[in-house]
Amino acid sequence: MNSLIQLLNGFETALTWWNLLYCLIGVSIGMLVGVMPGLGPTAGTAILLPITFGLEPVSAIIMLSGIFYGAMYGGTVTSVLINTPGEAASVITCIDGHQMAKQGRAGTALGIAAIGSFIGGTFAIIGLAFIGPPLANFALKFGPPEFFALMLLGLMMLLGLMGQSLLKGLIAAVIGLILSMVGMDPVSGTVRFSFHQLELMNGFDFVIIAMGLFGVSEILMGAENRSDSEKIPKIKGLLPKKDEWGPALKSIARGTGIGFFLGLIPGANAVIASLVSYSAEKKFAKNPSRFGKGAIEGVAGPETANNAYSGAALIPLFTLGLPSSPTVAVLLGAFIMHGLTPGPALFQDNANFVWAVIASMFIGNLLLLVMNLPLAGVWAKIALIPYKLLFPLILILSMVGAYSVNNSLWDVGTMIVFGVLGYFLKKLDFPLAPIVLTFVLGKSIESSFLQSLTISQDGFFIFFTRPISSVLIMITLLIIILSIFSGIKKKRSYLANDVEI
Amino acid sequence: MKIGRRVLSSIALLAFVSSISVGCAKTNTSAKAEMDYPKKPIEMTVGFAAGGMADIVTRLSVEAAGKHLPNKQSIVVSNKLGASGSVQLAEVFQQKPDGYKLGSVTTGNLIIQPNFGNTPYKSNDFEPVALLNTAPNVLVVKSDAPWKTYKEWLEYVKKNPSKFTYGTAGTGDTKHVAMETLNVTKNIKTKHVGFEGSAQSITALMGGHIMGAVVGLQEAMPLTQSGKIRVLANLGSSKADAYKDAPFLKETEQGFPGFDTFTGILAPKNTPKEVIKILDEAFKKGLKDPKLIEELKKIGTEPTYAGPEEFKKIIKTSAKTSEEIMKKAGLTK
Repeated sequence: MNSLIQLLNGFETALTWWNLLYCLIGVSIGMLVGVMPGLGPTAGTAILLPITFGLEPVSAIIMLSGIFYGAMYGGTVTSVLINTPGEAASVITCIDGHQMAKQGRAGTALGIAAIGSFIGGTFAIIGLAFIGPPLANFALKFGPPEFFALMLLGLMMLLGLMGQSLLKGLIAAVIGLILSMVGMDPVSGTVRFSFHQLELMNGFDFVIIAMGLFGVSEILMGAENRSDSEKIPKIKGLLPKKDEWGPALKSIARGTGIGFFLGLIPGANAVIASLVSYSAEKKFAKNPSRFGKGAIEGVAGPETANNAYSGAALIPLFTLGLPSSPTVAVLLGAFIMHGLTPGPALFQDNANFVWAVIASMFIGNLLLLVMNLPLAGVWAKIALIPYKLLFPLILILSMVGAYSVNNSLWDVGTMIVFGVLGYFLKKLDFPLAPIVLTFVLGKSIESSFLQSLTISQDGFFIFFTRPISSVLIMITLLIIILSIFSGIKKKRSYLANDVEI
Repeated sequence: MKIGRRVLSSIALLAFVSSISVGCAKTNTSAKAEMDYPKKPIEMTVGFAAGGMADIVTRLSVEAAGKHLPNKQSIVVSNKLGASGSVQLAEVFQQKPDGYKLGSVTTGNLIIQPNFGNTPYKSNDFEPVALLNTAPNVLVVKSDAPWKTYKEWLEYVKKNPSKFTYGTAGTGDTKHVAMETLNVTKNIKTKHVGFEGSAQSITALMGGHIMGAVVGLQEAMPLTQSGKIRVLANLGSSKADAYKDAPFLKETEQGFPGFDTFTGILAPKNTPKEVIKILDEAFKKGLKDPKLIEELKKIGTEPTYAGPEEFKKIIKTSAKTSEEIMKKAGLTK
């Protein structure tokens, strides 16, 4: 009850005109950096951080956290409309979201994503307010071996995204893994595949690869089909059909749970949340074959999950003082700069501050929902712009975005190279999502594996002697065995029907 | 809210100035620049992300120093990322030494990276301008760890070689080199676990997955204040007033040089002495600004000014020790 009263007090602070304004500025900038390819929430918060020096701490944190969760809303837009993820967590949304746009249902895809994001985000904040502290301590049990097992499970989930041919999917996955190995290995410090090129010493940047493979290749494909043969049907409104509400809401509920749980674990990322959610949706669906062809659950689930993730990711920060992602690390910097020490004492020493920020997140999510539902219709109209006008515009925006990541032309060139690569891969019917996802997972799998072995006193057994990692590895093995089993039973190429049993 | 507006307007002004500076950069590089310097805005790059420690220290110091530049000119800071700061410094290395292209560097990209042999520059290929800040690296353990003091810890490590695991922000980071230096000088064996950034290593420490961690002073602060972790020793080359109880190993352990993470300003080699002097004067005055000291205090650090000559010496000694230690520790050949 005590928390509830404090929360109401928090609303009192958050609802002052100035704080409302900063909240609005924060979420709007968040939306914007989410929409802009190349600019992400990390860059957004980092750039604005110096501006907040002169602000009240409460207003500063309200604004900066608004950027963080606002970006998750914005990232969806480009995924759906132009098949280019605005930020990493929205890669999955491209699969079904863009298909929906092609069917003229871009508005619906964006609408359900906004609703799901709102529900996921709000529940995560409720979690942050009421059950955060005990959960956060549990999450600390995730050390390198547990991460390794979790990433392994994530890799297994990828099988669900392989598309038509398993062989091509596996090739794509391996390409991603190899790309992830470029650069310095953080554990031993060895530089690999850099060919003495300084720019490659830290490996490729995810944003650059994703923009090239998805965005630039899409433009090349579009330029080829200049005839505009794929005429976009009229936009059919923002809300799902009657019979879609049920499954969509269920996906939103599942996405909330998955995102919230993964957000608690410092170091897991939003990509895993949306990936796991997508696989779960495909598993729960009555007719999994609709996935990849514009299934609404394929948008609702992952988009909810990445928002629930971003809300829950603030729990380790608030309660333990541990940043769970680069963006949250910038937020931690902001806390310290404003003389606040995140951690268990924060709720006691600065209760007013904490509850005001939490209250502002409720407000911010509501603002985002209000902004996004009508905006979904406006955004969706972008899909109606003729290709000859739209594509050069996207290309220019992507180049500026790629340049802005590290302020370097090298990245622009890299993006174009990956664009050409993506074009050929698309021509050859290779699925692209596995490439970027294994790229993200690959680095963490490798470093957590090596870290585990360094920590371990008895070699490989560390993965099986620790309860959480051994359970996760068992689940992974079980999925493999069951897939093989069901494959043989169906007398089809045994892995072709992925994890569906 | 007045302050907020003022900051916003100064940001807008900065953006305006920087856009002008880009426009002028190509022209107006007369040989007589040193006579009347600076005649146009000076560009400075930072090799690390905006919002990080190196970036914040640089931007705040530059803002303070900019007020003391002649001709009402200013310094415009931009971030150039890649290869742990090596991309940015390689660019500074290739610039014309006219005083209009400067770089802000840290121990990482100036001292450590060249030891790996992957950079086109060496640490003595530049004209040091001023040292802005230096922050010690500290060895921390969880508060419920069995070792209450550095002495107890040392006893344990001597009895149990290769048992104590410690995390750092990554292999070859100053924090890693600092601990390896201690290993070599005290003839002990500890196991290094490299993470991606200090935040990850602190998280692993909190979860009890590793036994200790070496982190920057300001990175340890939030958790020492809440009593979650304990500082066992100062592995740096400067004292840490916030942790007086932790021994300053540079003084207490013979032969241990100590490793700080510093941030400083460099110019390309052969930049005229007069130019360096003008810049140094500005930074010397700027770093005494009480407003700057107040702002740096908030992020757990303070300005530690050193002029060109002294900074050169610091670079020389750290380069020498780090090279020797990294060889001994098997990090480089």
